[in-house]
Amino acid sequence: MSASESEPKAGSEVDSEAGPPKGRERFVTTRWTLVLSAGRRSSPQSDRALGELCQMYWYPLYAYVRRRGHPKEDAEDLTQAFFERLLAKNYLEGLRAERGRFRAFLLASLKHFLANEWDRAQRQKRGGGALHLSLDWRDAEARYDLDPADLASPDRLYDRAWALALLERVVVRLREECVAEGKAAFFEAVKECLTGGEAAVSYREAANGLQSSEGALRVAVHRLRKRYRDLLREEIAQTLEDPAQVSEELRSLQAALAG
Amino acid sequence: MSTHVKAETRCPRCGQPIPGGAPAGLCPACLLAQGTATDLRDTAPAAGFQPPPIAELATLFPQLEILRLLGVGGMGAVYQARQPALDRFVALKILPAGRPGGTAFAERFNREARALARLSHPHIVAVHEFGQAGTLHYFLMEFVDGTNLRQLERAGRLSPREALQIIPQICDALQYAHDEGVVHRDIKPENVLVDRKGRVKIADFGLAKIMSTDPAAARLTVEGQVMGTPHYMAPEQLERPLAVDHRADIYSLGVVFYEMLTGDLPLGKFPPPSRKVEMDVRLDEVVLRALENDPERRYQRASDVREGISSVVSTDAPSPLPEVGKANSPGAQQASRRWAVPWFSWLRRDRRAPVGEKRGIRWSWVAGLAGTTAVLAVGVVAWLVFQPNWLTAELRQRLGASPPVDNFAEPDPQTGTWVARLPGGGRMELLALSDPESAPDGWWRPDGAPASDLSLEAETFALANPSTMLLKRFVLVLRDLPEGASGPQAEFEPRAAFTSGGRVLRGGQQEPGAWPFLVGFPPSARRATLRVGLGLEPWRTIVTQSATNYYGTQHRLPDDPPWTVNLSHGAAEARGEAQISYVFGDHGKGWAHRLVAVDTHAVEHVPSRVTATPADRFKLYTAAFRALPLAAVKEFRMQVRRVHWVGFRDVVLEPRTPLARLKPALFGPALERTFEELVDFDTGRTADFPPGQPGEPPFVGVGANVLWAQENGFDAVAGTDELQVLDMIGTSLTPAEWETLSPEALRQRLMEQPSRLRSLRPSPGHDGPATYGFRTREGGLGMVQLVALDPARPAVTVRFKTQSERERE
Repeated sequence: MSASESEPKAGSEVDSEAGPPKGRERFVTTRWTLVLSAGRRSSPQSDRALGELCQMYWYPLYAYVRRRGHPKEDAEDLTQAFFERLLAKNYLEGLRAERGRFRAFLLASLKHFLANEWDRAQRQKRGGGALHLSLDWRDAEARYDLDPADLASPDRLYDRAWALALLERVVVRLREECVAEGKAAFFEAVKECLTGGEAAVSYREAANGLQSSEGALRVAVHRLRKRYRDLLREEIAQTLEDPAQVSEELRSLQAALAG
Repeated sequence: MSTHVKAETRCPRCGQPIPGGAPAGLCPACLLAQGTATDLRDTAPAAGFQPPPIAELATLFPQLEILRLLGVGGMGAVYQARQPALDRFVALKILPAGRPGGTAFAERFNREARALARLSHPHIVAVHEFGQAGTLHYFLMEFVDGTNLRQLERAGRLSPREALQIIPQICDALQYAHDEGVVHRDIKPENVLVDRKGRVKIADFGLAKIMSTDPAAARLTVEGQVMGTPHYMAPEQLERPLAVDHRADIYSLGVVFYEMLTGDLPLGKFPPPSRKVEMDVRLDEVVLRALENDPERRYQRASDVREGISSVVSTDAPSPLPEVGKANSPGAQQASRRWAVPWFSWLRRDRRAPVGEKRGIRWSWVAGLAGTTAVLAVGVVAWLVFQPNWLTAELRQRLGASPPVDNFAEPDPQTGTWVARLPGGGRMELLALSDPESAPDGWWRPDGAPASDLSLEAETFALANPSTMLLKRFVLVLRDLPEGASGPQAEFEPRAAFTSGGRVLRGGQQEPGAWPFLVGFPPSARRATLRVGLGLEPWRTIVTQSATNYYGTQHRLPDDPPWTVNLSHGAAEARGEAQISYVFGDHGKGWAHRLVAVDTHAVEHVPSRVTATPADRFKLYTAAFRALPLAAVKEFRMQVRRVHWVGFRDVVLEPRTPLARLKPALFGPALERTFEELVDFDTGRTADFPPGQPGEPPFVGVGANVLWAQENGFDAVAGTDELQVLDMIGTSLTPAEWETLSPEALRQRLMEQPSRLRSLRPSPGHDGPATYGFRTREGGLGMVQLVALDPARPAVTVRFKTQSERERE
């Protein structure tokens, strides 16, 4: 990469606030754009992409439903039903404003579902035969108990849970990559560094434990951090229509966690 | 899912409780914060430069409506604005106030604007106005509603068809500017804007050097901060930045073209574009010709590139050639030539040598000398490695008569050098002489004949008080010496102060066995005689003395001179070093002596340090042996051996005809780089490690990648809170020396206090960025400042400059 080639040019649009230039769509391949571009004509790829997104981010929805006051069993049923309906493509039309972000889209869809279709969905479910996602409800309730109970609104809990699910995904991916490269011990020894805390890890001690040199370890940690950042931004981009909005989405998630 | 951590745990960084469900037990807020650093590739801001807020600009530019900040970079900030009077959008470029470089920087700014303002072309961004508002320099430019080529490339590879639409437009713009006498000098994708209708507009002719202006204008480029982007720069632009012409733009255009077609830069051994992507193979020839290393072989005009493309586009593509036949196409042939000699091979001249051979000559000499200070001849340390040494005229006077010369050198009609044979088959050759400022082809033979074919460069140690002397450089070459040969000593007639040791490059390669001298003669000297003494046979012990008592033995031969030898009985120990004093009075220069310590395993140790107190006939010496305690010493031995002297008579100190000379050495422009992984100071390139396959080289285990970087010519790797240095000689400097130290002074510093740099860390004080001088493995001499370390990104920003090619007078 060449970092210093970012001299702003006369009149060029450096920032992406004004939206992507025309013709950009053909380049981007995030999961969310795959789903969006498929529209009504679902393809195996777009179904898989939507399924993956839902598997990753179902918990924030569950937390939202619980915080709205539904008991555990109802919340499970409701979330499940919502996904069935979502996967059947009923919500991909008509939510223009929220299309840019999967996070916003999912919550808007859920609210719409809760307001209008919960009863109907329940009837359909009893009829059976719908798509089914395999979700780990037991874990969901354990996590729900751990979430701070004093959060003001279900919306905020939803964003907060979303941020945690995202980070979880990123850290798991990072750890898996390390394990695949035979560096599981390395990851465990230095993972504290991912939060930016230098004091958290003594490089000398860690290097001794890993039979590596301190210098080599510093470089490895530097690279791990960089990889983490790349993965984080990549995962966020997967939920956006325009990948250039990653920074903005990051700021939103930060605000959610700060709340 | 993940480990659930109890809510009481607190983040060691922010101190906040870590909530349940935190991934891997890590504080989620801090984790997320790591990702919020703005994308390096899009908006790397200039170190310390804050773009002025819009409100502030509004007061400075009442005639404009400042709408928004478009971007910030090393050279300033660009805003979108509206001119209500003309009802048009404009781009306002603001120069950072108080930039280092001061007046020169402002001058360059004005020149940039003037150069641009002279140009009026549909494919060049127009300058409407420029000047100064308050303390800010600015210019108003045509607003281009669109994007740049870099962003288009990043979004996805442009198809060859689109490249063929864009490149001709760049050619038109360049040809127009070249006809106007303006060379862009920094063509790269960032400078090629594309508006929403697909029209190309070239921006930033600000780096242009106006061909018709005076040399003072050229100087501005030297003082400049970031001039040009190495990946897109023509080889001659790196070598001789002040002497490029419009053909440098054609090379850069070739790089842009190659990158548009293939998505990659034409670095190192690059294949022709058609090997990488499906495209008309005839375009290879156009691209490769634009990328010729030699400007003479390149397209001579930008319009010729355009014609090359149209002739391909307007005729039918040939039927695809089978793989075997492909290698015979003209493009492929050119590429394979290039494959053999990448254009930057001049930078890489040492790269081909295995790591262990680097500076092999010098080190083998160090070994051969068996410890520099141990080499004592007639009481004077005449040759030193890495330490300056000179003999004052007074000291020389005390040395008495010239040494007995065994034989004098004869001219070798084949080589033009003077050669003397040595006992045992070795020979000594006086290769050439020069003035300190001679060009590589400005050396002369000992008889005064020009040696323009040599291409010789010598680095020597400095001499004290050189202004009162006639300074000359000599290069002596020692060949085929017997093993263990050592102790070369030199004497000049007329008497001269001199330093010896250093480095000699011949045609860019280190010359084996070559020794450079810097000699200070009396100003009236015209000819000189050089005598060189060498010890060739093994050392012979003449006196042995026990380390612990009075016992000693003499081993003298009947013909030996009547040396006076007296070893002190009181051998001592200080800081773990055995020390002993002795008196040695010699008779003549035909012998060298040394004192060694023999340990209990019968191993001989030469002293690590010898000090001498001169007297009339006898000298008192003290020898110290580092890391050798007295208890480990069994005995001390006084050893001697013959010195064989060779003479070079009537060496001519001036060439017969005036020869090429060089201007003083200068540092090239400072480059600032923000990078995440690797940097190469010789070329200015930055890079990331390539993705490694898990479990495969080069990335097995933690840290193996560092080795990879070293082998691939990178000079430093970013660590968490430091920049790790790979195999460079370096020295720590003060921040002020960044401006004041000349390349020659830095070279001396590195020779006098060489140390292997391990890592660069931020300076603890507040007096400026941590500053270091260095010499890379490839021989590049330069300085580097650690500007910023951003652990969150993570990234490192350095500023560095290397010595540029010296210009001829």
